[in-house]
Amino acid sequence: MSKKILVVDDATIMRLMLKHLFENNEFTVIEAINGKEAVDLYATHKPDLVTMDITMPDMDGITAVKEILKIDPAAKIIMCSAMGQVDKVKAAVMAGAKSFLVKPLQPERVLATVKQFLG
Amino acid sequence: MDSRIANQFILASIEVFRKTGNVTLKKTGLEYFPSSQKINAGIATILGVTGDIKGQFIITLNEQFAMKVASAILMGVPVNTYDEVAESAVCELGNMIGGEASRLLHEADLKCDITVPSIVRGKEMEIAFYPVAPMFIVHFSCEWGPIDLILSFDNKSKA
Repeated sequence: MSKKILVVDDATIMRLMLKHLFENNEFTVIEAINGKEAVDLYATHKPDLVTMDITMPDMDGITAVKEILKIDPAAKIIMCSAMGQVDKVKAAVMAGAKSFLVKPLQPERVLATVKQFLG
Repeated sequence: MDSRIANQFILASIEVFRKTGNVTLKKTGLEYFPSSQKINAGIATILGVTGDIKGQFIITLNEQFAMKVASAILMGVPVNTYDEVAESAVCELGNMIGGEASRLLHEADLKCDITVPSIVRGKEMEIAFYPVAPMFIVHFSCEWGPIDLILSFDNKSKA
């Protein structure tokens, strides 16, 4: 059975890009358009990994990381954000994210990071 | 406006295009306007800058260019119509340039954040900032066509 990845991003183009990339590498993809929807979908689907944007409406990515970790302290969450300054990276790691990728995303780097956590 | 701010946005634009489809962005001109200016573009994405630097930046391009950006982000999948996907790519381009500029400015001890982008469509637009503020238009070109970066920052910015 293929591993399940929850892609969280308010930008249609980024969800589409990650969906293509993951599905072409035999992962199953679920999509959320903001942090709140991500928390709800995580509770329902229990994905193997989450890619999480930071700046989103309704609930931002850092808050969503904290909420998901309340549901599942072992959740594997990789931040994918255009905001790569040190304070954002620190905030994400302090919240419990496992890794941080800065946009523009490099497909090979994304896949290597995902595989590092999914084995 | 301090040239250090403008330079970080120029460097950020070049870097984002290099990473998005390995495209070389060349700066072809720089113009200064004291108040407002009419431009012919098609699409503009507008983002605010807050923090130690306050102001706005705007990226203007045409539909063909937007479709090329979308296709590059989608790793070569053709995008032949200007639709929600292409428009989302324009917004994401703004986010990425703003994010990279913000990262560079943080390294220069100028902490700032970028607001969520919005889109304006129209063949002829008049760009102005209120309260009235001067603007720089940086002209670029690349294999996808021309693209402009409009910058306007508050003189009270920390820089």
